[in-house]
Amino acid sequence: MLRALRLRVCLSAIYAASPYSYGVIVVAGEVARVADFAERLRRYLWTTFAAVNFFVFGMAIAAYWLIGVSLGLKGVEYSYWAAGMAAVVVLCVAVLEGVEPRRGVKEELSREGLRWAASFILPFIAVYAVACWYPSLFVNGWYLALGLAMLLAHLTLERPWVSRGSMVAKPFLFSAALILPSYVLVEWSYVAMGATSSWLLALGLMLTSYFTAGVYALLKAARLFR
Amino acid sequence: MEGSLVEELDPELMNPKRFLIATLLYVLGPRTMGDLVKSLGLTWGDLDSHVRRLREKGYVEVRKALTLRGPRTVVKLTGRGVEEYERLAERLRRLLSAAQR
Repeated sequence: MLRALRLRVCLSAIYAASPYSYGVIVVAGEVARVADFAERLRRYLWTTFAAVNFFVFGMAIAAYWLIGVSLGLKGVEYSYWAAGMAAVVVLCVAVLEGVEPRRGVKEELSREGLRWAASFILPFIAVYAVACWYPSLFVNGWYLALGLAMLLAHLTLERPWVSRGSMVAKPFLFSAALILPSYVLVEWSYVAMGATSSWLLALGLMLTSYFTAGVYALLKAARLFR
Repeated sequence: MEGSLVEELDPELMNPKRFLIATLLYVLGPRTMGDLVKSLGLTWGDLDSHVRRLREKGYVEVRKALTLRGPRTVVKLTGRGVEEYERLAERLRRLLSAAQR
């Protein structure tokens, strides 16, 4: 108690020299601390949510393809695979909606649905449109398209959120930076070891990039409170 | 210039209860009135008067929404509210650093 009293006297002496009263400074200090904490907590929530997205989507997509292939469904028509994939994505979105922090003004982007759709549909259309000239793209084109989709998602969604101060990490850009250069490895694997090996390599690299991007976002978020 | 820092602080947001309401909406996004009452330990009358005050200043918007648990009144920080909140935080930081000099 004596120590607290001494500290109080010390503080009073410091602030007596300033043009503000001791009470005003103490209250302002407390309010500033809460406001600062609120800002950090908001960024923390949105950045960790972005990381969770990578873990959920990575696990669900990999599980879908691995289960499908292991059941011997390789011969099933491509459109059925795509429909199943769309169902998995819708399921993931529905699950994540339940845990997503609620959007304030800062997180609201104009035509956000269109931005998501354009980022994740256009690259696939573009890649598979040229696949008839490059047979390897039929097997591994999804990996290249995914890398481009991540880059587009960074440009259209992630960048505005980071510049508005809602997020502190750029996991989409991080993931694109891992996927796009490593596509060379997948192509090499297609030529050297065949379609199945290169497809499995692409799936493994996708999981690695998602895992790394998620962990990177979590680490950046954790640094907000260190 | 330093002397005017205290007067520059927004009196609406410097009220402790209104500051807490704005902080909660800033961090967690739009909330129902029920959520705010439970989280902040305010009475319904108290919350209603403070939210009305913030709405009059254009800091929050209030709308009715249909939820799975029935109709609810949702409070959301507006763009102006976010700006004012961040401005207040910035001014407080400046005030503190000015006092420490």
